[in-house]
Amino acid sequence: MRVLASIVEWDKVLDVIVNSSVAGIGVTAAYAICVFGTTRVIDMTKAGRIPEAALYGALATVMLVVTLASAVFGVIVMTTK
Amino acid sequence: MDSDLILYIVVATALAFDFTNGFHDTANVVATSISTRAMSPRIAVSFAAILNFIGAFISLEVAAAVAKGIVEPGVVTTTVIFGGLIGAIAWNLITWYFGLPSSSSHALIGGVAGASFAAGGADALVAGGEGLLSKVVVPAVIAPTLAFMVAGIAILIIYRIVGGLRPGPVNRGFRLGQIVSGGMLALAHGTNDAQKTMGVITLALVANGNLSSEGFHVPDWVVISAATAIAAGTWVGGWRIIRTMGSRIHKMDTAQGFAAQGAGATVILAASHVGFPLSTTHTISGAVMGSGAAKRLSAVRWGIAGNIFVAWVLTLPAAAGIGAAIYGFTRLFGTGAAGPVIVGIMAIIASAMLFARRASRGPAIAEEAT
Repeated sequence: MRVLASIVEWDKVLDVIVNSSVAGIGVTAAYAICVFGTTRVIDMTKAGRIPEAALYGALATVMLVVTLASAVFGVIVMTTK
Repeated sequence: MDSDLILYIVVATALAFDFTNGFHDTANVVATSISTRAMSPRIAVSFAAILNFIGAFISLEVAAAVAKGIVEPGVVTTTVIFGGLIGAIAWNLITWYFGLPSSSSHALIGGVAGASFAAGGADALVAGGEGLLSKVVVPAVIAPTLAFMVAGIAILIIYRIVGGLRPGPVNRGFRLGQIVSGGMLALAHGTNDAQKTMGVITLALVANGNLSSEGFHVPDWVVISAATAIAAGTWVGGWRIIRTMGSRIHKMDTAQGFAAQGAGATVILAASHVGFPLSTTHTISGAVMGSGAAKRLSAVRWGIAGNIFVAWVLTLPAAAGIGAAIYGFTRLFGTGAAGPVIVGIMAIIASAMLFARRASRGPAIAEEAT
């Protein structure tokens, strides 16, 4: 067991666990909020509640930007090592 | 002259393996998009082929790990690498025959490690096998588990956020999202998997004396040819395994497909960044199961998942055994080019017979299982 502990590159393993957990859960949550905002925009617009629709639209846009920016950031991190 | 001929055979075999890797593995990447109808099969496969090609140019960390971190470049010969490659292809074809999404990456690494061990004992492996353990075995256990958990947590959060909404717009939203998440997964696959072939070809060039074992350099033609081979294999597509991955483990909704692809892509990209030669198949399998199990444990067809698990456990030792046996058989014909030429011809004939037998028998066992 001690031999295994000394062989494994724990710093890299931890890197993978932390980065993929934060990115994987964070980005999917951000995109889910984007979908939530977009759906609410449709519902609010149909109900004639334009101010609320605008707010949900802004939320959806911000979350879409966060999602796409995270994807681009991931690729940049990969290519600049 | 003989050594150059063996090198040509090894490069051709490595590129053929890369093609089968695209054919065999990349189907897993597009299966979730196809299953949820985010994309048509042909568009999904073409999209994945293009992004696999691009992904192959992103990083060389995994290629370095394969070329330097697992077997000793100064000890192995081109014949050893040839034995390993044929062992990996044989295992890939066996699992393809039965419709099991096993790992081409582990088959490649297992085959080369097994042939190296047969040729030079433990000395042929980096630090007596510690490199194999730290760079392949431990990540092989962690990656699917991590993908399972990330996809599971992600889908629970998604359901929490969009749970009370009308399904129509939500499904359309996640179908669009799957174009991005599926693209990232294809990019991640190209990054991690094409590099393994680059690493093996680089190892063969070092073994043949074309490159120095000091430092690490992958020639441009190796990068371009490996990227082209995996993209071509992807485009031809592994339709048999698409069915297993896309709908046989569990029926996915669009949100689950998005969560599974997102989790798989982030785990593979994070691992590629630190140079772990992961199995994309195992990672995406873990993510698909995680997104299903988080919703309802019984949603996952555990019998099919069990078949995948068995192939997962067997791949490294089985490919290593076949690689070692093929190296031993090749050496029966001496150290020249005769062995690789004869074994290469036998491998082509055996592959053709397997394809013909499969074609005459209809669906694969995994397809019939449900």
